[in-house]
Amino acid sequence: MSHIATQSWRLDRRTFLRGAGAALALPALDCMATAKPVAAPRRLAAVYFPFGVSVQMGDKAKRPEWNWFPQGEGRDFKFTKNLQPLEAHRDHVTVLGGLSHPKVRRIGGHDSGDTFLTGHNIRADHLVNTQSMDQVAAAKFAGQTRFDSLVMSTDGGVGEPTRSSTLSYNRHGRPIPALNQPQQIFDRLFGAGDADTARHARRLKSGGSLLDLVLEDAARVRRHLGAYDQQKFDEYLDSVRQVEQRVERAQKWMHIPKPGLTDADRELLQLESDSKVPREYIATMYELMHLAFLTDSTRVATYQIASMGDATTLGGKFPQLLGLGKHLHGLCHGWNREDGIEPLGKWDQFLAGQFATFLDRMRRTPAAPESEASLLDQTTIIYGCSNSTTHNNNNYPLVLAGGRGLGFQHGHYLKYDNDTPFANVFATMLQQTGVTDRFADSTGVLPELLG
Amino acid sequence: MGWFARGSHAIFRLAWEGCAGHSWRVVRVLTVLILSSGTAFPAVPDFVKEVRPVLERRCFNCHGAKEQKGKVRLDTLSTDLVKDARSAEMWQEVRAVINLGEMPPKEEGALAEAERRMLLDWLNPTIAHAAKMAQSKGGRVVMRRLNRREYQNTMRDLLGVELDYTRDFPPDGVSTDGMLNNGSALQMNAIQLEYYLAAARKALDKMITTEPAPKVFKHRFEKSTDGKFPQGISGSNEPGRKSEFIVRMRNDYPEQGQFRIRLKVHVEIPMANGPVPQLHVRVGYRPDTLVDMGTLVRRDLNKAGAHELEFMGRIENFPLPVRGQGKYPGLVVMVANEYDRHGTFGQTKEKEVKDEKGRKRKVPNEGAEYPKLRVEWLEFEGPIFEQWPPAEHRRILFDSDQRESDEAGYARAVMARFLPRAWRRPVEATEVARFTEFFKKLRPNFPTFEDAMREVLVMALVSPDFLYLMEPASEKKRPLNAHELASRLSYFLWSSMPDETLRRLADTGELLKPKVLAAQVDRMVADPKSGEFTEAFVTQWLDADAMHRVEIDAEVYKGYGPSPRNTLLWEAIRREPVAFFAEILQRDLSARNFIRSEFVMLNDLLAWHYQFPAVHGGTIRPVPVPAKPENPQTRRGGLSTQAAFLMGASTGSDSHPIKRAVFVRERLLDDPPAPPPPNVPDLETVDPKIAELSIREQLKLHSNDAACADCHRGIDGWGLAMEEYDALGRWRDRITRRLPNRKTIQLELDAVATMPDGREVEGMEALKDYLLAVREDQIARAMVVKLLTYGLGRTLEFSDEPLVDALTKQFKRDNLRMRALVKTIVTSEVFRTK
Repeated sequence: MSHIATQSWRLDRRTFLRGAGAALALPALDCMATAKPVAAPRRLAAVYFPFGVSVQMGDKAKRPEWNWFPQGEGRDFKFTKNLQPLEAHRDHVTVLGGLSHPKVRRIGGHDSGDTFLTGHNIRADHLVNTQSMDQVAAAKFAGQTRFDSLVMSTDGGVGEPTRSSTLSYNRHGRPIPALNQPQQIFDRLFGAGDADTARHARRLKSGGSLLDLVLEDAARVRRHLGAYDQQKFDEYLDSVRQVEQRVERAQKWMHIPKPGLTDADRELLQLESDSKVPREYIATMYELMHLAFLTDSTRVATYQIASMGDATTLGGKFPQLLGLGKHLHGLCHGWNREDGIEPLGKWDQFLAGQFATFLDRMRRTPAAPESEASLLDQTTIIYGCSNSTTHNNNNYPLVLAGGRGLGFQHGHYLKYDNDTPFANVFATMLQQTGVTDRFADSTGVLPELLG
Repeated sequence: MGWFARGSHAIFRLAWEGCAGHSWRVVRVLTVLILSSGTAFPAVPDFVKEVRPVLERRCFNCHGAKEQKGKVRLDTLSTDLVKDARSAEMWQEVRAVINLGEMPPKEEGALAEAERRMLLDWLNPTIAHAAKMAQSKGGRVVMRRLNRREYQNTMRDLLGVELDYTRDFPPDGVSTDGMLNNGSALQMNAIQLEYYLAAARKALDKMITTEPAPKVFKHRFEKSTDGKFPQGISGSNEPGRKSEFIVRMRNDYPEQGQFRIRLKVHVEIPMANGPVPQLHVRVGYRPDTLVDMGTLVRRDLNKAGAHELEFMGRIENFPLPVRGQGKYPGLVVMVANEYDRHGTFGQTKEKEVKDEKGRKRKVPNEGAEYPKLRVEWLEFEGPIFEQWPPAEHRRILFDSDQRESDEAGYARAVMARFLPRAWRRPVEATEVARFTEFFKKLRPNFPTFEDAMREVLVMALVSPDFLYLMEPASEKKRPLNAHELASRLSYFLWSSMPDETLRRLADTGELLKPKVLAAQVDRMVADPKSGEFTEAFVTQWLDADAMHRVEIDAEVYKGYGPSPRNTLLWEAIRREPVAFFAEILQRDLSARNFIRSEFVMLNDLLAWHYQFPAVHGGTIRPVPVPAKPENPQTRRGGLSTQAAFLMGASTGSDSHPIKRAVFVRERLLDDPPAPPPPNVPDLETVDPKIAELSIREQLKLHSNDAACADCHRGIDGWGLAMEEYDALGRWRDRITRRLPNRKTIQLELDAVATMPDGREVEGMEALKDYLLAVREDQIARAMVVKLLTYGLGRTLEFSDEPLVDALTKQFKRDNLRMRALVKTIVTSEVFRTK
């Protein structure tokens, strides 16, 4: 960790933006056969929280001021307390009501976290998932940035099926472990790496042939395994191949220094913070996402704020640590209880506040040097949950944010019914980032989201 | 019929978490069908005779031969869910619409309670069974990779150096039965492999050196640094409540390698059998990030007089400051007497004394019984090595004339020694040759032999043979060979690679003899490395970390908010169940102790917490439970009175009877309650006074619904009987409840509970009687299931049933002795078969 304090690679903001930001395409990519220069990078992000929100709708609503969904509809809507912090970004967000993944409506309320970005009925498929939306984009952008995607969660790793602690699944539907230590994520993105560059270069080269040999050997071993072991072994082979590709790519990136950051860039970073201090921790994770985009280290990022594993997770304790009383799952169960609505509403509000800070950071950062557009304008972000009220897999609370530069138009509250699959939002996001126009069970894109 | 009725472990934990205030519709609990206690439980209804008539009456009109509304036809749907995956999917849909109340449609009239129950009684177990079968791995262990703990220990044992090898590894996947060593759940992916590669390189950079011998630093300190330090600590040769022996080395200290600290101390123990000084030596400090110092040692000093003590550490494992930074403190070593630092047991008043210069100073009045510690001197030396390069380097790159004369030949010799240890099996010449070839290919590109050799060694450490427990086998089961068995055994009992002895026994094939195997269990359990097994197994079996995920409400429990004292207390509470299990295993005691024991494992803080007669020192040790305790607080013994579990299954403000019930059923009885169905509506809590009701009344309220009552009948009793214990695990005779308006009220304690079979018990002791009298067989069986699941590293399947029965029988013949069970397991056929 010593390089944090001793870094000699600090560059001023402009220099590094030119060197590593959007303009990076110019000199750097000459050496990269696979990468195509993109004038203004398009980016995509997803943020998730579990167990639902406070929903106070209709005549029976006990505390309508704490209804997560805004009052009114279309352009004429008013944020309630829950999403109040988003008011400052009204023109950059659209609240979506009524959406859900059709296949997921039928599974256990708390089994749906794994499926937020996949839309797949994992229960009917023996807990095997499908590729997540962010990874479709990551595959498309592969090679254009140092990292294909940044996958983060508070709990880290993969968790267990139906209680996943990651949002992202690869093309085989296998969970991608999320990173959860701010310092580690920072080091990956910005760490100076091996100080001995000559050794680094030699190792990258030897790393390639090393993995080649491992693969070659492994192919021999595979023949001697039974069916289940072979499946397991293929995970290994697949991983070796991917690392091999990364090593290959790292050779191309080797001469491009990792982006530096100024003090101003790091002011919101508390790399030693951990999940015991939710406010700092979540802010830091958002900030890492912001910095990864700012430095064009990746085009795709996901962050799971807490998982449905509640009782066994770190994120589940957040409300208690914030003084909101209960464990997250218990808190969310209070959505319809006289004494439970307000604490839950405050939790919603806390999350919205954190999200608003992230949007603010993204808005204040130019998409490229001299650019009029902001980073936020070039990034489409989905924020939300796969439960409306807890256990309920319908009517996801969702905010679509950013991406005005990608054609999105904001400032509405749009209500849908059960006929529109949530995947249509993903299809739209993927289309506007130039990836594809369909995803999972999507039936089309949603033109009303676009200008 | 008996199945391992286990759905997703996670679901139970979660679903019941929030249960105290809401209802679910009933799901007929599949698991109650399998209790081996012989109690009569309803069997799965017969499809043709009982279930089909209901479907005929209520469903086939629209989803039968005549009409197939929504393209759904049920009358021809296969009832063999195992063979027919499409039908399984449809039956799941049927269950969903029934649970959701969507079918039959309103105009047809809802299902009568008996009809609904009949359908669900068939659907739930049938679907669970099919799901279980679908995930079957043919009753075989799936090739599993080392988890974090195993990787860390294996690297330590292989390389002979204790370093943090796994800092950056993502957390491991958890299996549906809560275990962290399950081959199916431990996935491999690019990020994981990337960190394996990085960890191997980092380790070998450290082990294999091309640098000249480093400068050795030696210091002797006879006087503590003066001055004030954070938290009001001052420097002193007599570390006490507010002072520590503090020394620092400005620039002249090592940043790599082993170091040694020697100490001469004088110990005074004023009261025989009274408090003793608790030595705590800490090293390193990062002022920039406020990372606290690392603990080198914590130890009770039980004997009065002068002692010379010596401790070794690895400097890389301690937080070192960055040289040249502002407020740079150098390397700091602090020696504390931790006895009652936080004023839990003794005097904390201050008195005035005069210092050497005659100035008045206030110091803590430590009281007559305060055990004193005086430091005469402290020596620091590092890095420590007998020769250069150090032993860990020479263990791999051993001395040889060949080194200079024939590099490739030497590389071959190095790998021929290294590979069998790293891969935990004999290797063939052709396998070694591949590494030699790799070496030859690399060597021209690397400046030194060592540089190239590191990469060659790295290759061995990212190979599947190192990262996985490899047991190549075809579709047919086969016995393990001796080396595979050695690995299974050592990862079971040590969470690490086999040692020299096991390897030798595997080489000769001796290990395949059951007698030899059993003898090895004794040896391995006696080895301190078995602490890894105890820690890992207890953590996973009992989810001992649950307590850390509960935040104690300091408004209800005054004085139990975050504080240094409580940090120590939580630490002791967390260690209790592990120490307890270790004691039972080491002494080969009966598993009945998990329910009721005549001893508890305590140190000073735990004894204080449980109001036991004072125990001195921080070491946890067995303490007898008073036979007829006057103080009800001391009614302890077994797992269920341990604070770790009582806290973990609490809300932080109060007990949580449902969580406690789930703990007993899931962990001790291997009979977790079923999860709630999807989209269950919450109970409308019309009564605003609900917060003032006792838990019992709250549960009663939402069990008014027949559907709720059905499920809760099997749950509530287990938790209600434990109401005598609060969220901190302390015995109580009244319940303190915090209302939403932050006021607290007192409620009457009522620990009368009706058990699932209708028997009534009152309080924890009666519950223990009940468990031992009625459920002993089930407890024995559960223990077998948990330990076997861990030992094999896989989820048990239906086909394992007869085996579990046989092991349970043997376990009972052995009077439920735990080490006997370990032996029975490792000598069983399943453990010795791939």
